[in-house]
Amino acid sequence: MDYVFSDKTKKITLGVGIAGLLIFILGVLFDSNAYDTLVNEGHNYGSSNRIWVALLTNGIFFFFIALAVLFFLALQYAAEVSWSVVFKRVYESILSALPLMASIVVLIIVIGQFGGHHIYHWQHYDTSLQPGQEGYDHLLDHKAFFFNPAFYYPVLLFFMGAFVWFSRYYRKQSLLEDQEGGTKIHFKNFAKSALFLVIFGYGSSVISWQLIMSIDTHWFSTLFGWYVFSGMWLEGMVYALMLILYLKGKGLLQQASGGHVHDMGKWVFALSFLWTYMFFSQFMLIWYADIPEEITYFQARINDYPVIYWMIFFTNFAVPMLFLMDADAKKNKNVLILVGCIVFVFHWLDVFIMTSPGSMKAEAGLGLIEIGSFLLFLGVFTFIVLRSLASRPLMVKNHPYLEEGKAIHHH
Amino acid sequence: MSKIYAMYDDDSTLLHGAESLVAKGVQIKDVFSPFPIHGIDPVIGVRKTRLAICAFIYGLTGMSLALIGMYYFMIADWPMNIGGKPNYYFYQNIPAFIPITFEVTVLCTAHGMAITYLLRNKTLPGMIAKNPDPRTTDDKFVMQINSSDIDMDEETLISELKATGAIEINKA
Repeated sequence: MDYVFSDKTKKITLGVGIAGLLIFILGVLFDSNAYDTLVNEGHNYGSSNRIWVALLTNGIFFFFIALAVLFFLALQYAAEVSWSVVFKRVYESILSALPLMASIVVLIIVIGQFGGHHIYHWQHYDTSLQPGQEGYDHLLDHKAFFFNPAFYYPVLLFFMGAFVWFSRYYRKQSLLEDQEGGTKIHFKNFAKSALFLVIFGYGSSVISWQLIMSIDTHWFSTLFGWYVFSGMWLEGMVYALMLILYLKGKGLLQQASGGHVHDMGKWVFALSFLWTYMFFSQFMLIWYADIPEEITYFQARINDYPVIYWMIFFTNFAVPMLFLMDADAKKNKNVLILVGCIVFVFHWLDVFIMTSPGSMKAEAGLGLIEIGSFLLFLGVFTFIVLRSLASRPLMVKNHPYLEEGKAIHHH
Repeated sequence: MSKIYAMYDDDSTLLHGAESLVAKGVQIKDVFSPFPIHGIDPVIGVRKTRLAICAFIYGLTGMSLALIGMYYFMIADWPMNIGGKPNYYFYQNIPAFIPITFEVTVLCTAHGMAITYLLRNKTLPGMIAKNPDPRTTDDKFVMQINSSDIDMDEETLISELKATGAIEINKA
C-alpha cells in the first residue's frame, strides 16, 4: 500500500508553515530588539542580525536532517545492511528536501558576503591590514587563507554540490532499480556510497567549520566537526523515526513489523550517547586547558545563556538514557514519540546555541522570530518530504536485501 | 526419571525439530550448543534474561565508588593543585572526574556482568563441565528432554526425535 498525501495533511503541513511565517513576521514587526544595533568589542553586529540568525539556524538544522539521512542511506549501502531496506523510501523522501535547504544556507552566507548581515565576522575583515595597524587581528590574519573567498566558496559549493548530486542520484537509482531489477544497480550504489562516505568524511567537518564554527571567527576546536556530525546524525534519525511512526500509525509499512522500529529506537538511544560524549569531550578538554583563545566559545555561552546551555546538555543526555534504556521502551510508540519530540526540540536549541551567541553576544533571544521561523521551516520541509513520499511506491521492489530485511525478527 | 539426549549436526535442523516437538506437546528441558542459536529461546521457553538489571546495579555501584573515591582523594583528604584548577569543592572539579567515573562504571559493569554470567551458568574456571557430551563444545548440538516432563512413552518420543533429524539418541 502506498502513502497518499491527503488534502487534510497538505493543509496541516502548509498551515504550520504559514502560521510560522505569520509568527515570524509578527516577531520582526514587534520583537523589540530585532532591529537593535549591537556594537560589541568594537565590532558592528548589524541591525537585523537576529532575523538572519533565525533563518540561518533553521536552514542549518533542517539541512543537517536531510544531510544526515543521506549519510545514513549511504552507510546502509556501504555496510550492506538489510533491516533498513523497508524504510528506504522514507529516507529517500527526506533527501528530496536537501537541495532547497542547502540553497537556503548558501544563499544566506552569500548575502552576508555582500553586506546583508553581520553573522560572519570574517566576511568583513580587511585582510590587507598589517601587524601594528589599527584593526589588525592576528587570528583572522592567521586564518586568512581559509576565509579567502576564492578558497571558501569553491570548497563550500563543492561539498554542497556533491551532497545535492548524491541525494538526487540515490533517488533516481532507487526508481530505476524498481523497474530493472537485478543486482547491477545495487552494486553501483554500493560503490558510489563508498565514494560518498569519503567525501562526507571530509565534507561534514569542513561544512561545520564553514557554516557554524566561523561564526565565532576567532575560535577553533578540532572536535567541532564531530560534535556537529553526531548531533546531525541524531536529528536525522529522530526525524526519520517520527515519519516512520506516522506512517505506521496510518497502517502502512506493514512489512516493518519485526523489530525494525526497535532498531530505529536503538539508533536514537545510541546516538544520544555519542552526542553527549562529543559535547563533553570538547567541553572538558577546553575547560581543563583553559587557554584564552579556546575558552571564548564557552564563555559566550555559559556566561550569557547558562540555563539553555546546560539544559541542552542534560536533557539530550538524560531523557533518551532514562526513557529509552529498557528494550520494551524502544518498541513503544508513545515513548518514542515523546522522547523524539523532546530530543528534536532540544537539538534545535543546540544548533541555536551554536549560531546565536557568536553572532549576537548576549542579545540573542528566543521569541516569536525564532519560533515562527522554526515552524515555517518545519512545515515546508515536511510538506516537501510527504509530497515526495506520496509520489513513489512506499516499498522498494527488487532490492537484493528486501526479503532478508523483511524477515528480520528480534527475539 | 531418565534424561534423553538427542544429538543434531546442524543448528537449524535442531531449531525446526524443537518447533515441531513443542507443537506436539514435548517439553524440552535444555539445548547444548557451541554457539548461541538465534531464535531458540522462545521455542524452548527460556525466560528473558535479567542480566541487564544486574548490569545496571553494577554500573551504579561503579559510578558511586568512583565519585566517592575521588571526593575523598582529591577534595577531602588532600586537595591537589593541578594546573591551578579549583580544588576545594567537589562541584567545581566535577568535569575532571567524569572520565574516570565513566571508566570505573564501565569496568564494574563489564566485570560484574561477566562474573555473574559465569557464576549463573556454573562455568567459572575450574568448575566441572555439566554438558552431556563434549562434542557440544565443538560442532554438535544436543537437545535434552526429561521423561518426567512428557506424556508420551519413550519409544514414541525416540521415533519422533529421529523424524526431526536427530543423528544420535542417548539416554542417561
